[in-house]
Amino acid sequence: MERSSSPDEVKNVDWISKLPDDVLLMILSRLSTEEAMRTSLVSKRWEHLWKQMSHLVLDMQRFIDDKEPLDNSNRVATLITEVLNNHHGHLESCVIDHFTPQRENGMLNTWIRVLASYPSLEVLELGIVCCPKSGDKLKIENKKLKLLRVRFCHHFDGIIVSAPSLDILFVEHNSFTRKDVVFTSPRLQFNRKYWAGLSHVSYNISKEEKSIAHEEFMKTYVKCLSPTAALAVSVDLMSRTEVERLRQLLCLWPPEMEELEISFKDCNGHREEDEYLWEEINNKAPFPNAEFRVGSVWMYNFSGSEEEFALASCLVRQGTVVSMMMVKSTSYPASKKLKIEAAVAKLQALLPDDDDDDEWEGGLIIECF
Amino acid sequence: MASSSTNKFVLKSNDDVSFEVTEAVAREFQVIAHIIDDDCAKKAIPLSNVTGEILSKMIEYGKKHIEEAPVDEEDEEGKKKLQIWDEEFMKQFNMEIVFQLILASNYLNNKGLLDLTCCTVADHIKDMTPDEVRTLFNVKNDYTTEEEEEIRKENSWAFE
Repeated sequence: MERSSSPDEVKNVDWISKLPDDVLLMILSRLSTEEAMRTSLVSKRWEHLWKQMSHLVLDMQRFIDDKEPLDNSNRVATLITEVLNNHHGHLESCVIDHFTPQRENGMLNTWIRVLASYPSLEVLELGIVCCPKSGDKLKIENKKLKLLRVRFCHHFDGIIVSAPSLDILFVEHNSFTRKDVVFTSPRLQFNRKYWAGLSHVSYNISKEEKSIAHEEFMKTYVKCLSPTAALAVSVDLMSRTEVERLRQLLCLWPPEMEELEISFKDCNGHREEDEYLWEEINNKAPFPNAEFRVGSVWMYNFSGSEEEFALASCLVRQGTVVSMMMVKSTSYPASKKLKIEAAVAKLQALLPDDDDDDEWEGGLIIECF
Repeated sequence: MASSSTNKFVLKSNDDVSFEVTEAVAREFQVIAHIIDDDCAKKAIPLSNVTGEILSKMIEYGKKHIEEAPVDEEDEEGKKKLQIWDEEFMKQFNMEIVFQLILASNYLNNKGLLDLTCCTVADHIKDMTPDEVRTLFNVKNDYTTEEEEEIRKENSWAFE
């Protein structure tokens, strides 16, 4: 490659070391984790810089093509532990790919423990290519974590997540049934019983002004979704921020979603000033857009309120929902149940008359369950 | 307030070169935008850390990004065109100028130009050994052989 400068042009001035740390970190953030770490050898000015980087990617596959005998993977895993221990700890996001032909020997737990001690970590991605001992569940405990993505390549017997701040959970290639999954993440709602072979995303839409998890999901993770991925989303339809983020999410999702679960958040009677939000949405372009299609929609905690009805009716009118729209009404008190059933009847009335019996197939079913 | 397309401001470098720019271009630099908002921009705005040579390049960048700004988020073609212009723009500079642009865009707070210039430096560092980085940027190696060994060991993940 031709470089635009030659050493004489720099006139022997060490410009780069004069840059403030935050600027040098911007430069390092453009490099791979390994390239950034290697700059520690340039001079003492650089020794600790990489340890302040906010994002690390540690992939054991880097060593796969090496002559390293496979049983050395334990040693390679130990190097990852060293990196995590040496880092100064202001880490916002971290990707670790654990790749070993052997049984998982507790390394994962060590990393998860070290990372849990980083107060700033919001995004964690784990790629797991190793055999667990039978009966092993993956345990992730972290108080601050907002986004967690786990990619499994082998069968694990389950996953236990205890993460009270978690807004987004993205699990891939799993074969869990609902009972294999234990969650202590109060922000996430989902009701699917069986996840076999599918990717699953649980998404609590946040109304916080800056949401690293949402930005990161939109920038990096939405591209990795397979067309069969299912989504369970919790949203407050009275919040303009949340509605806009829901729109962004559905617009970038692969256009033919199979299954969508929507849980409406109780805003405890708190209504924002945005009374006309849904009127505005209904008058404008389709929501989320004209292309998006979903096979079945399951709605939870539907109260029949104006904005919930507005969302449901636009999904019906636009033909966004293809085969089923199911609304949870059992297990609610009788008065609420009546209100839900009334709203569902109004939704059914939006469907074209299907007197023409030949064409009943392919029609949308709207029901309570 | 007068419209930003007609309002003009004068930016003055530390070697007394003055540039008249529209308000929109001036606002590309956040520090200047704040000065304008605080209504302290009656006369020429002195920029004590920037030479005329660097300032003229920054204004050229700012102008281009105002004139050719992509129509919206989805204007991929507009973004691509601007990106190609950015690449060409950076090719004309030697490293000394690149570093002065970094310092000046950091000082005047223009995120786009700061990103672009940092990216240029990162592209140079990529695939280089620490020794090549030292040579390119005139960094003096202040490690002893033992210290170097120690650092290699501590960061084995990256050096193996």
